[in-house]
Amino acid sequence: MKKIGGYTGKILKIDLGEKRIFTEPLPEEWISSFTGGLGISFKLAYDNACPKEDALGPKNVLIFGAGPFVGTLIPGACKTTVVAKTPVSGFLGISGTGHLGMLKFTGYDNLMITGEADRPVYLKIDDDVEICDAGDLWGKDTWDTTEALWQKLGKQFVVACIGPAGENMAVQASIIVNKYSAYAQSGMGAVMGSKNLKAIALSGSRSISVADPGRFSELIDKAYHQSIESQKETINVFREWGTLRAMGPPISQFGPHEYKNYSEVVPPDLPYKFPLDRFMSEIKRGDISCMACPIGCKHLIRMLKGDKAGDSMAVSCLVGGFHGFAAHCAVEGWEDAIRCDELCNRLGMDYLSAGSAIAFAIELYQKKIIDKTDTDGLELKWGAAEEVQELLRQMALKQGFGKILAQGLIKGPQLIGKNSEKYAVHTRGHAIYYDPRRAMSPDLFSDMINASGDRFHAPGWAGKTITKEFLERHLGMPPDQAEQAVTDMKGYGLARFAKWAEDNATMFECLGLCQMPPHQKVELSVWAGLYEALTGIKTDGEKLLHAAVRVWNIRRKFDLLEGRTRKDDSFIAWRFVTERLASGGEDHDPVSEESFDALLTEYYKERGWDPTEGSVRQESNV
Amino acid sequence: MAEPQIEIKAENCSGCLRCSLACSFYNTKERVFSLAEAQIVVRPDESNAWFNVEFRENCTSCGICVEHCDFGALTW
Repeated sequence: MKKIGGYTGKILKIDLGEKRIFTEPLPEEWISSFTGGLGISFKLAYDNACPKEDALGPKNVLIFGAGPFVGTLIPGACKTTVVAKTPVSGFLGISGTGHLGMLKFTGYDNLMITGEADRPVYLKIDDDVEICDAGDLWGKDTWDTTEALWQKLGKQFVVACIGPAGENMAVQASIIVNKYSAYAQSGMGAVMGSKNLKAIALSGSRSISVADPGRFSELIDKAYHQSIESQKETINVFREWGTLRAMGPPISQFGPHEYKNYSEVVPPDLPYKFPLDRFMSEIKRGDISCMACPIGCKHLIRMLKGDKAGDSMAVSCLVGGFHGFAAHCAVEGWEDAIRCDELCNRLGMDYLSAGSAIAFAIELYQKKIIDKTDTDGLELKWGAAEEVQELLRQMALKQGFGKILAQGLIKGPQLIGKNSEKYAVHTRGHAIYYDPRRAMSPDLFSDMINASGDRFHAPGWAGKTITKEFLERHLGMPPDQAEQAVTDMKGYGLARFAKWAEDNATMFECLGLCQMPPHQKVELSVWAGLYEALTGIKTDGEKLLHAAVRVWNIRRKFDLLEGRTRKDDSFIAWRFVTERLASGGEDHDPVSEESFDALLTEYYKERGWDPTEGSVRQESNV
Repeated sequence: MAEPQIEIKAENCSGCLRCSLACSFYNTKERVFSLAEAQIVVRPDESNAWFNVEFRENCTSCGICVEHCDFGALTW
């Protein structure tokens, strides 16, 4: 293709089974249809789909993508994605991180990996691409693997690797970048492990061109003003607390931290066991950013206890660790929770997915559905950090009772039997973040029906005051639709909002933008202007959103090939539809399946899908 | 080459690379983003803070990197 600013114009394809490395041009029509990054990865996933094949078999296709904004100075232009059929649900899984922008500087927009190596290997991608022996790395945790590769190749390389969890194909396995940033959910680490692929090391000397540097520079300033300069106090909060901000209102009031496997609400005294002022004064040492992000919501922290006391580690989504271990498993105090986070990170597992599986096991034990004969003598109780850590190890190594938990929240309960699936709280296998009994927000609704395995299609709208103007200005919703939506935010308005929020989130992912709330403040017209100035391609917000609709449709088509039906979209965990949630003086009813189903029909209509089955209509452009 | 007068406080560096990205974009003739052409280099280094920050030999101390550092890692 002719040189278009922002894109490298190339897709790197590697067949590990055939030991074949080749590049293909990024078709221009794909750019106009699917924008880039995640959109191109979905297109590749759909075109190479092998329906009903094992997600952990050689035919699954693992695709990394970085959109046109990645590698530029646009604030928040960091987000890269990885997609594959996920072993969690068997549908298309997605995960994202802000630390693999180096892919662009190696000269590729997307990296597609197929087949299965006949021995452990890693990929070295710089001016050349090599499949290298990883026999000496296999068995190492993610930190030691990264250190070993830095020692061998130099620290100019960005290292994305798996730990023992990925090698052993635990469905909670993540891919860890540079020791701290994670492609967390969806079990992408397990897919990498199934291919005998231990790591990908990237270092690039290529450049990214800009079609109209003058206009681009002006618009970067405008985006920086809207996302950073105009809200300095908000930025300081995001920088200081990072995602821990969700521990306080308004987000905490929507139930993201329900306690003990969603059997209770968070006790009022829990915040005192995790004092934020102590986190700031005694634990946090500095801020960590994703590429090109002026916020810095990740943390550099100091280890507090144990043989690593005094050492530093960087953590990305700390609230994920809080949610997985402190809220789900009732582990108390920063020290013990952070030790769980560290171990999880080293083993290469997602905090939330692993914490959810362990909380499920603890509840089964406490309810005497399982006992010591099931757990190889391990006594499971709430708040027992050492037992939680032992289960983390067992899951990563597929040993003991961890071998069952490593199968996830769909297969695991099937192996246990005894109606244990009642206590598996998930959305089609994926750990869930909010309690729908508290309030049904567009975020949560989208998460429940789509179960993509990442939060990025449901970006933190809970707790926001939604006005017609907001819907128009930031989501690009036409005025008449926005006016209708705000009149019924619990009914079709919520379904409509969910659809438009997903489209916006998808547009961000295709461009390569992070969705932290400050970045959401940038007007749609500014993003469109930046795209034009960077690429030289005429566009506007409407066109970018239309491409996002196509991306969403092709994702749906992939899942339909895998047999997805309305039943999958309407699955709600047993607990949420049968048990009340007692919250002090305020009780919450179980979720009404009837109301949820009605909302699903509204959502299908908003998407233009068949309102009964949710299939993508023929006329929908893919 | 002028000796860079910019002070580096690596303990404040967040690793965002905005300094390197800005350096290449505003200083290359072709106005491109390039980590290879940037005259400031940020790499992991846990022995000190989390990152190490260094200037390359063709740095002219133009100050673009200072303007784009949001974390106080680069100051005059």
